[in-house]
Amino acid sequence: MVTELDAERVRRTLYAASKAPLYGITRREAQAVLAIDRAAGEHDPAWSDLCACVLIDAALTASQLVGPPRPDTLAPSRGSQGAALSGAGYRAMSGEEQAILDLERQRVAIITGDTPEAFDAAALADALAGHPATPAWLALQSALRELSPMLHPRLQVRRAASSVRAA
Amino acid sequence: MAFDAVSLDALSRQSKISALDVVRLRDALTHDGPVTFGEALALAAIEGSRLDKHHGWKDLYIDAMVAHAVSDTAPEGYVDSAKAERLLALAAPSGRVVSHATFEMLCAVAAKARWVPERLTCAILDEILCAVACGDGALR
Repeated sequence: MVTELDAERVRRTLYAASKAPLYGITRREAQAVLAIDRAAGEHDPAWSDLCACVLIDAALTASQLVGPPRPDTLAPSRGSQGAALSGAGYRAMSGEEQAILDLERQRVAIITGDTPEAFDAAALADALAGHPATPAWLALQSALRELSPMLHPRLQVRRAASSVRAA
Repeated sequence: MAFDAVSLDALSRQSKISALDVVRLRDALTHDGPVTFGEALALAAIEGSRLDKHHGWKDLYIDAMVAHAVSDTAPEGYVDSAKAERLLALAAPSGRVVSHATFEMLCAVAAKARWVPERLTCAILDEILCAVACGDGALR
């Protein structure tokens, strides 16, 4: 079972791992969250809310959008009003912002040897397609439908297709 | 060395870590030099042991390990890949985190550092995954 305390631990870990200006959920972080969601027999609502927010952030990041800091996007108890689930605050990056992010990644790589990567849109779509219909997955599909105009084509969800999957 | 005035080796051979031991360790941590890898190794061994520990030990252990990993070793302020590997070798020698305090220590390192590698973040998330999937370990 994944508990509210587990959700809080994951949230705290993801907050700690995010340092300005690199806020987007990385591929390995999203894979770890998907693994926890898949492994849980029972899902506390706090977990499902967090999990959906993490995956929406990964989807928006994979769509080349930049969002607010994680304490805003993954904040607890915000449900459908959360920044990630509503897409609030996410926007396309300017060329200058992209260059600054690339330079920051290079700086971190030089100092630490670490090279975090965002989820590629196609790989994330494949990972989500193989995921069981957990409460988080259902919330994610709903959010993806609402946010479809903002998303990479591979991550856009059509209403009919998701209804079939949810059933 | 941070713990010049305290023999960590002698502490590990005691039957318990007392309140006075914690005070002496805290004083040494505050006033002496950086926490070395050897000292971090000794602290991790004490944490992983079955010694009866005073409740003040946990915070002392976390603070000392954070100091070692973040501020007392280069690159200062950052946890690079090599530091993360060494830290995980101490914290989870069998692949699972040895104690709840050690899990809290890894979280504190991640929070304090200006950057931690994904390897460390994912090790923390993996411990949560194991707790969820198997219902055992330091978090259950």
